[in-house]
Amino acid sequence: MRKLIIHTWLKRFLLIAVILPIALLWGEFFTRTLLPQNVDSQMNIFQSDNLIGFTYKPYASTHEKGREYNVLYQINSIGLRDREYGPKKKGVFRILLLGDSFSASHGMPIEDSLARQLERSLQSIADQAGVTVKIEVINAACGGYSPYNYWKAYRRWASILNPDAVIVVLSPDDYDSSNAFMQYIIQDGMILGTFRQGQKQHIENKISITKLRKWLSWNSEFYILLRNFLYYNDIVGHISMWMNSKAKGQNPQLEPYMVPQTENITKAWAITFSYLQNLNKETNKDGIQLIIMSAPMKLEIDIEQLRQTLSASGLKAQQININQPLKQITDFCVQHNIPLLDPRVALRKRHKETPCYFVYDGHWIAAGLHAATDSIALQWRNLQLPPWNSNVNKNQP
Amino acid sequence: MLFNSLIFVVFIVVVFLVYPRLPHRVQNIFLILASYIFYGYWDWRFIFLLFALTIINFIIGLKLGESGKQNEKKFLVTLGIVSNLSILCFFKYFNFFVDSAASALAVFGLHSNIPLLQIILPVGISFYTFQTMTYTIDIYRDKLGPTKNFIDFALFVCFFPQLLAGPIERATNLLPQIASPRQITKAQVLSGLNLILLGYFKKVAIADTLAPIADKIFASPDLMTSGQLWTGVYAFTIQIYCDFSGYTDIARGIALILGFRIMENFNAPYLSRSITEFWRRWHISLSTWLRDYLYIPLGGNRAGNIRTYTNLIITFLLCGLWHGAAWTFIIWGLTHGLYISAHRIILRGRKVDISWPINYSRRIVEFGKIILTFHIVALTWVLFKSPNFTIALKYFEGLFRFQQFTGFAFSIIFAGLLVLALDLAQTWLKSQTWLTDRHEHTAIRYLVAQFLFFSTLAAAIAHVGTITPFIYFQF
Repeated sequence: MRKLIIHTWLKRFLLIAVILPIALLWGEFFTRTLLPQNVDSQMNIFQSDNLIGFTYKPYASTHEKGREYNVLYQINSIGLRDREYGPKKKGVFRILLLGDSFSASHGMPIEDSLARQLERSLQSIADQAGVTVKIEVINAACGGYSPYNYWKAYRRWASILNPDAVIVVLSPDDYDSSNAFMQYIIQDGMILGTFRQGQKQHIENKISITKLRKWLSWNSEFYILLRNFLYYNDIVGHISMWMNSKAKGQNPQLEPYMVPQTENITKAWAITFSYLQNLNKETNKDGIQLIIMSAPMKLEIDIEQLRQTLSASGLKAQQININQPLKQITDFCVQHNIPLLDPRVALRKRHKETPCYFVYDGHWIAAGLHAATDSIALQWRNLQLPPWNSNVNKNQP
Repeated sequence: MLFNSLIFVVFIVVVFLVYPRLPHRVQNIFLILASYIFYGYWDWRFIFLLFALTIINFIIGLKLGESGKQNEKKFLVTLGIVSNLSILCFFKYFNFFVDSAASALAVFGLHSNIPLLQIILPVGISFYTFQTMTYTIDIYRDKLGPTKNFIDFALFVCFFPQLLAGPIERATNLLPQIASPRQITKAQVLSGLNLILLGYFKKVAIADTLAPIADKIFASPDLMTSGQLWTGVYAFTIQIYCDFSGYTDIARGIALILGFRIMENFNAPYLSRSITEFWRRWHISLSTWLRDYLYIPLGGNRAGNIRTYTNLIITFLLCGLWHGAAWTFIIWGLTHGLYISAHRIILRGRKVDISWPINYSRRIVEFGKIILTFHIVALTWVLFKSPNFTIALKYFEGLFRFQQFTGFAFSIIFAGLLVLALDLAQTWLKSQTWLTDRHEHTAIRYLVAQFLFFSTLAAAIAHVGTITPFIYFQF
């Protein structure tokens, strides 16, 4: 009798094992037909760079796809996600934009990017003031960069592009100091992994979970559907928090705002500011104006998002200070006499009327970029930063 | 509480865990409590309405049972019908009648000063008032004796699986099941789970996926090409079937797990070969209700052809009005009344055969009839879905502007084929729960079950954060 039961269950198990892959293929077919998803694109647009770590590959082109976007990524002849730039012409005021995915305008077409919108906002103010100047904002930002990379990227591009000003966009979580020691494993234009200088390079096995996940993310819409659900609803975050009891009462998103600040973060900020100090010294030496723009995270603008993140983390309201990163950046700017532009007020106002961030992704969308650039362009003029404090190209006092 | 909400999943798990452990009488009390929680979760104030209806009909039922005189019985049943219909009319039709009367008076230059009221339509009111009426009418007709147990009757009125969108059960079927102890077998539970899986597949994977397509196209038909408008027609035709029959399947599945057998409401309606057959397969509980409690009392087909057609048209007009307080619904019902009357003329006294399989020697003709009936029904859904006549007319005009036949979405064909496959399987195997009832072809049954599961899972994930209420809740 017992043998018979085991036999029946074994038969069922085998049947399910055989049928499951077919059913998963059906799930794929069903998803593709009725619930189409954007699979991840193979972002094979990167190359190693001895100075910065990595940059975009000149002339590379791909589509960046996600749940909420599908945009063309086209890299120019010198490795920037931007149009072509020749030698600077007379009457042109050139600004070099440095930053991470926020400034690179992740998920946005280049026409709506931070660089293009800032260019339009500044140009509009210049036109209104009767200043005959042509503003050019060059998008030298790249997803994955941090202040170490900004400093090195300045070195790489300043001599080629000859900017008049440099704007660095700092996010509240831009305190990662590790990029100075980071080496990148890049194959066929894709960043496959990282390792630290002096450490043994980890070479991935031919078949590994990571490779399988990557393959699925490029090819399976059903996988993308499940993955997006698990990630965007913070289920993965909750599971990892639950599995790691040490992580209880913490949330990576809230780390920059926690009071008192952890020793590691304070140290990381100190290192980060040292890179910015180096950058400031170099721009001063080159006679180029350095400007810092503080880019707020979505939870600083969207109160509901903050409330949800706080509730999910188990932290109390008094354990965080939402203005802490801004204050640290402000203190640094004051100390080194670097102009600071802050779009928070404008973003909060606009976000009440229309969403300024992707729902799941957390990066700026066109409305957010527009609000931010209009606000910082006004602050730029009010602070009388170049070209407004320069007599060059002015036809009116 | 919606069947496709997370809170319902928690609710039903608790019900399934507690219910089988209780003795029969306590089970009934527990189900009443669960049903009131289920209904009150939407708006707690309306549980008093449900309770009032229960008391009124229970007392009238008792009085009907005690009464020996025909006149007194007639008075009591009329009182019961008027009470139920008054409640229904007040909540559902008051503003519609006032508004229509004002418009009619305005034609003659008169102005009405009756104000419109801010009335919230209690969800499922058309279903439970009609169900409750079967009780008093059946007692009057001596088909049923009045129950003296208030708990049993209260459960009959508020039984949560079919409370919001039917099937409109008959007291003769449901009350005896409530009164006697129920057996829950493993086969029953499996069949119930089969129905629930099927229901969620239809609702979540098909109806909710097609809903945004249909909504978008019906919102601005003048901006759409003919191809897109046909896509909209097919999308809504499949959506409304899957939405409503999906609800019924879930309701029947839950009821089965609780030990109740409630009536079938759909029997592959889009495989009908005529409009008469369609109404024997679509919303069976309503069409048989209208036949038994309206069409036959009006005289049915016993008083000559003209009277028969008049009765049919009146029945379908009221069927349209039952669906919603709007002229588009009334005209939708009238159109179906005209179709049925026309079909009756064509039939010339022949009976309608709804049995399957179809006559293979005439398969092309039979297939043609299915396609024709499907399109007649599908085009009439335009009236049902459109918010007003202007949009409906624009829609019809655009549909036949074939010079712009672009933008037809082939995903609709895929969804339609899936539904067709399920209906064909149900028809041929003569069972809706063939996945669990049958013992042969285990591999195919497992495969289909996993197909349904993974499709529903994918769709549920894709629709996270957007709960689409069942269409028939508004009726």
